[in-house]
Amino acid sequence: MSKPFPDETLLARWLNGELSHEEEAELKGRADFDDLRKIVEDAKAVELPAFSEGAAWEKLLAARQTPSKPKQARRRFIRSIWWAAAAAILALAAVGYWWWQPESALIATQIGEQMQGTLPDGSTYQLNAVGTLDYDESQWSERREVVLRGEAFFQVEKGSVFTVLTPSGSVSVLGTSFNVWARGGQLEVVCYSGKVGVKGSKTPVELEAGQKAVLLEDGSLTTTNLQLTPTPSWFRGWTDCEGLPLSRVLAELGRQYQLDVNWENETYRVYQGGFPNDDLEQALKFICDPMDLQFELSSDKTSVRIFAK
Amino acid sequence: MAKPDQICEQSVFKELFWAYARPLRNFLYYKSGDPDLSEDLVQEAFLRMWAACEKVSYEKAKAYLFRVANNLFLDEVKHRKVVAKFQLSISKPVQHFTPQEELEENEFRARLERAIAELPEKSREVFLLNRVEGLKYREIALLLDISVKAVEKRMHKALVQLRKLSDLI
Repeated sequence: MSKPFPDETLLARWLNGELSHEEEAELKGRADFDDLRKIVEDAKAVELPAFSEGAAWEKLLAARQTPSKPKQARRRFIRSIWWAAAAAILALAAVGYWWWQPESALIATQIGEQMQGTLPDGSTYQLNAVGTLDYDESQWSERREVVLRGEAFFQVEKGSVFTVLTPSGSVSVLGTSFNVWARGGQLEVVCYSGKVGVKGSKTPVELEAGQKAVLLEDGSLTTTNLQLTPTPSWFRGWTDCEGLPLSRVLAELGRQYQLDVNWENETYRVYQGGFPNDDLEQALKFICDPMDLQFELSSDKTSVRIFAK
Repeated sequence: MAKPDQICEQSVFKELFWAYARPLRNFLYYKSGDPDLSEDLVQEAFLRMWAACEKVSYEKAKAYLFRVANNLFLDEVKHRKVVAKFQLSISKPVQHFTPQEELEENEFRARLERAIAELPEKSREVFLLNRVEGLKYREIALLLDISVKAVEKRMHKALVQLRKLSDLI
């Protein structure tokens, strides 16, 4: 079992960086310090259920129209209406499935696949491999909002606010082009033209053309300036990995080639370069040669072993 | 910025809704672990503010909403015969693991999910408001109408308890 703590706010002050040197040294010397750190880190990735301000606002307006009743009863009543409505919609959907297209559009790409298309207002998207893009067509005139998992490039027609929701933060613009990469709780946004607002769990930032925002582990955002081509490189069959951790580069390789990547003795290394999306052996050479690594591709080309020379 | 007595104006009210509905929903979710109940209570809190809009200034709206939502939640818990079990999930990291490490990772996450669900509500809300929502202790203190010291104590307690649950490994 673990030792008791010397006072009852110590860990709270530790998270705020308020400990004295002695306190900190003692805390770090504890056998359970690594566990504490891991708990604090992992807890940040708590998933929140979906929420749509637009839909909730409509509900609020509707509820405001209904004659007021005792409060508790009203909530139950509203809830039962929603259940009834949900049941009715389900029944209708079951009957109508063969006649009507569903209004919510879900676009999904598989490994090695890209997809492009046009949104109801003429804005366009290009979705990179292993991603989903979801939006509500019937609500589009009310609010331009898409939900993204994965990576996509958007060119947005001028108009009302256009929002990209991702599991770790949101990006909102008026009319511009930008790339969003949102995987595994991470988020990166590059602005190609116009202005883009990015929001994590802390202070939002505004990007101008040629700037990139990266969500840091503590929920804050950092911005850097880039030398930009007019569109992201993955458009042209090239994945650009300049300055990315090698583990992420290999994960991206796996997504482009349906490949199981096993990197032996994985360590933290940064890769400067990129790889082609249409030639697996070339891609592996591009990555392994400058990193002094060797690779062994299985005969069916579904898995690769990567190891030091 | 709107003048104090203008929140009755629909456009101003909508602005407040857009600003605070999500933080309020998250706050209620950290308390209840129930997304439907959280949305219901968000709506109820805004309805009450609308009914009382002449008495609530723009600057006080946030504090008003959180106070009302907190009371509504306490009411709800009091009147409920069965309280839904708190549930939440933690998303997987993107890193590469060996199968063995991945197994351990998954197990640790599942354990942490359960441990968070089992925290007393007061510790849990403080812990999640700080860790997930990124609120400062001072901001949490204002929201819950308690002292900063009390927030720190709850935070410390939350971690000690979470830590104990991982002892069972």
